[in-house]
Amino acid sequence: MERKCFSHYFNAQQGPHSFKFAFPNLHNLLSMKAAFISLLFILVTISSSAQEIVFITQPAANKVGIQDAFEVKYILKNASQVQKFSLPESNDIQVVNGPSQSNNTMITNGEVSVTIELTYVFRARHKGNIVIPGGIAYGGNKEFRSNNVTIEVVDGSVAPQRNQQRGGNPFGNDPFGDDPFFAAIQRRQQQMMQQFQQNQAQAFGRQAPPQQQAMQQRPEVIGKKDIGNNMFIKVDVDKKKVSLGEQITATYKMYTRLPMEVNLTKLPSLIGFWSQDFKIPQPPKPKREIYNGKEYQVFEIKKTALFPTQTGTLQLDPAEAEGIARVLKPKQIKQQNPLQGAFDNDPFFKQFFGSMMMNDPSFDNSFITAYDYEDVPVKLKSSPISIEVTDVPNTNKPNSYDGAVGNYTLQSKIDKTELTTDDNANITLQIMGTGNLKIIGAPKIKFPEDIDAYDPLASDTITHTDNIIAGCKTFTYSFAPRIPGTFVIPPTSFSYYDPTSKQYKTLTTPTYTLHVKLGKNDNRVANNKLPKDIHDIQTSPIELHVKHNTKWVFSPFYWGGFVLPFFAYIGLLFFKRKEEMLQSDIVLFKNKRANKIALKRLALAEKFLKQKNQNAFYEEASKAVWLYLSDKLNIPLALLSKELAEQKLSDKKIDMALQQELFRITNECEMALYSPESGVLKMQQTYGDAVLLIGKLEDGLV
Amino acid sequence: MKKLGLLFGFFLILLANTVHATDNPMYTEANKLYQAKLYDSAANLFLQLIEKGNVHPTLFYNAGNAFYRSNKIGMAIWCYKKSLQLQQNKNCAENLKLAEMRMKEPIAAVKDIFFIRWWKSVYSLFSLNGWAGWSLAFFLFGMSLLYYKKIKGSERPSNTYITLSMLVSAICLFFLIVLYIHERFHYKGIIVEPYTFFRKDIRAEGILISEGMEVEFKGNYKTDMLIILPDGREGQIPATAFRKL
Repeated sequence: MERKCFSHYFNAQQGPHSFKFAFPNLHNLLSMKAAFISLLFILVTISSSAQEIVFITQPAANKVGIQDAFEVKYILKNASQVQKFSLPESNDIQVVNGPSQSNNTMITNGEVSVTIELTYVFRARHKGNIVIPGGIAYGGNKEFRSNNVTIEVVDGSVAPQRNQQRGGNPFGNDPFGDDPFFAAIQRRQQQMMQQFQQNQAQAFGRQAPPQQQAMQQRPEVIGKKDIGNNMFIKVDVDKKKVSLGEQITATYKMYTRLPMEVNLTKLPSLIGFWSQDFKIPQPPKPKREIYNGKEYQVFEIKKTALFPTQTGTLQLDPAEAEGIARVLKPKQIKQQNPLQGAFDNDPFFKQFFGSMMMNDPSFDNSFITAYDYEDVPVKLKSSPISIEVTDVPNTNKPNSYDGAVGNYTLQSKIDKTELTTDDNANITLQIMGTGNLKIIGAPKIKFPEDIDAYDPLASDTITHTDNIIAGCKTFTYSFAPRIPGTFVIPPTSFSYYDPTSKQYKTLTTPTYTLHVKLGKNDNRVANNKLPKDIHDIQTSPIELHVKHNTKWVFSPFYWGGFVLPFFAYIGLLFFKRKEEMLQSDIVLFKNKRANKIALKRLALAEKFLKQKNQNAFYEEASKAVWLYLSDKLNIPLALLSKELAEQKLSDKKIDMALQQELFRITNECEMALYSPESGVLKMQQTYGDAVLLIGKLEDGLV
Repeated sequence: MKKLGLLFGFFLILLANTVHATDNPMYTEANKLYQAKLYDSAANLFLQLIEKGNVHPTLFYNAGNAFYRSNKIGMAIWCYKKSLQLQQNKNCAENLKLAEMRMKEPIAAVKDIFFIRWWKSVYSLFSLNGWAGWSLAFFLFGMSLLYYKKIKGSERPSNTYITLSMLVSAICLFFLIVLYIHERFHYKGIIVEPYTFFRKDIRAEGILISEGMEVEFKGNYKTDMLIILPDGREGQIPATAFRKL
């Protein structure tokens, strides 16, 4: 059976307080018997091909001190058949611890090899050369013995040698080595060893060495009921009566005498304070502290600098934690531990312990009590603390006081005093010291009117050394002169209240004088010509109008202005076209009827010809020709003259011969009207010519 | 021809602004209050007159002074700019500059690319009604030429003139539309609230912009207004902080 190693981890992973550490417990000591129960040999019965058993004794060092406990390993190789192991009695050594067993099974090329290592911790009983006896292993009706080893025992301790071997200091003063698990084992070993020595000392009436006295207490049994007394959270404050803004250092500590696993569930909210946490070492290291006569492991959970921002009685909230604590319960072995009974009858067990313990009177039944442990849920809560905050005194309070409390120095710097209207300059104020730095506001610098100042930039660096918040707050004021000239920036004051001397102190900056020249920037030059102040109002009466801001775009009349003329134009155009069309129709009609009329007239003329009415005949013939021309050429009869007809006919490209024929006929008709009778033959010829002429003109004048 | 003449005359009458002369005791009172250094009350009265729809460069100028004196730089700048829109005035321009110098953190405007500047100066050559008037005038001129040519059968105005005047009318109409879109959707305004937070979007942290800054309207978003800062940054401000120029 593996030994139970109590390594206790305390986890607080809430908020900023995340820490992890090994916690070796003083009262974690099991009784001797309980420890030795763990000497259980697991019988290995793995059948494999027979191999030779190798059995060696291997001490961790060849030279040890009389005060040192040292390790010896019994190594059994190819130990598949081994069933038992025993260690012969020896007067040179005593068993401090062990054996712890480790098994190693290897399968190589199908062959199983088992290696068993048994580790004992011995202590030498006297100086000089001592012999560490070889172990005896039994298996397959055979007995194997390992070699005896002789080592040298000297006065005092040669522990460093062992350090190199184990990579840690098992018995050094720092129990929290690199390996918490290992450290816990070592601590237990040490405690057990001390227990052993104490018992022996009692038996032989000797006093234990004084340096070991502190540790030589019987294990204290802490039950469930006692948790409250053995585990709690406590708040420490350095002051309970402060003035507004003065620093208080509050420390939340967890006191414990039990192994535990606890998580912080509630951090104090710290209402009414401005707080600044100190760094807690990671992982947190416990300290020993005697409180009410008992020794505790103490962990710092939270350490905070508090600056009250209100007056009156302020309460520090409790911190709360929840988790599990491990408490011990005494148990009667015979009743409780079935294993014990089994071992009572075990010859190996008896043989082994018999050899070691037989002559130890303290190893009696009353002492052999098993301690079982029990995990109990716990809730921890610190008790609230009241802090009385008084206001800073009103008397002699400077005007520039703005709530700063502490102890400060003021430094002021300007980056340039010679500049142009194009430039920006900076004044830096640095407030350094201890106190409520973070809540310090920017002191007001009174810049001249013609200088544009921007809001100051603030930055702070807080350093917290030990229990005091200190640091430096820097304000940078940027400004730009508007016009050239010489300007004076008056001193700026910064006041604070010093709680130690209980009075106000005021720091001031020097006066700065600026020489500003005209810059190149056009805007500013133009601005320089501006008057100092705005021009006054005009008071002459004016006629005010309420203007309806009509947008023509939205007026239908506006768009009517486009649409109406357009339609009017279209209408007019249409009307004109129609009239023109009508007129051209009349011409066509006249043209068409011209031939008809002419033929009618000529028919009438033929009638007169038959009647031999010469005058009427020529008149009708003449009319027929002229009316025909009038219609055909679209000239009213009244206007029609020989010349006009001639011109029109020429325009219409009637050839000259036809024109001459036309005018011959019309002339003949006119002549005949006023001349004596020329006979029927002549009339018939004229008639024929006229018909022929109109036919030809009809062809030419379409 | 008679018809056309009548039509033209009718439109001229219509397009002339309707004008009402009003008595202005309120204005006189406001001036008196200003001279009595009761700037807040004066500014209040001036603002009432402006809100009623009174438009006069001097009214805006005096109102600007009253706001300047009562430390409302945003409103002062708005008033001065309104006054200068109506009439150029040296005093007013200087007062505007003084007011602008009192802006806490002015943001320098980013200059547009030259052709955008030209484009803007072209369509801003006339007001909305100006472009509308010119467009109608050229249209009517072209129509009358057409009338002479086509109806009267006169040969004198050549087709080129008619085409040209119609083209000019169309161009004016085009600029009218461009200017309208600009004025309707991209108008400028002044930040008149002293503490206006400008945020890039609803989740972004706001930056404080100085009152008096001229910004361009871009759109509305619920109770907020999307604007463009002079340096081209876009974001939103509470709509109440913006006053249209």
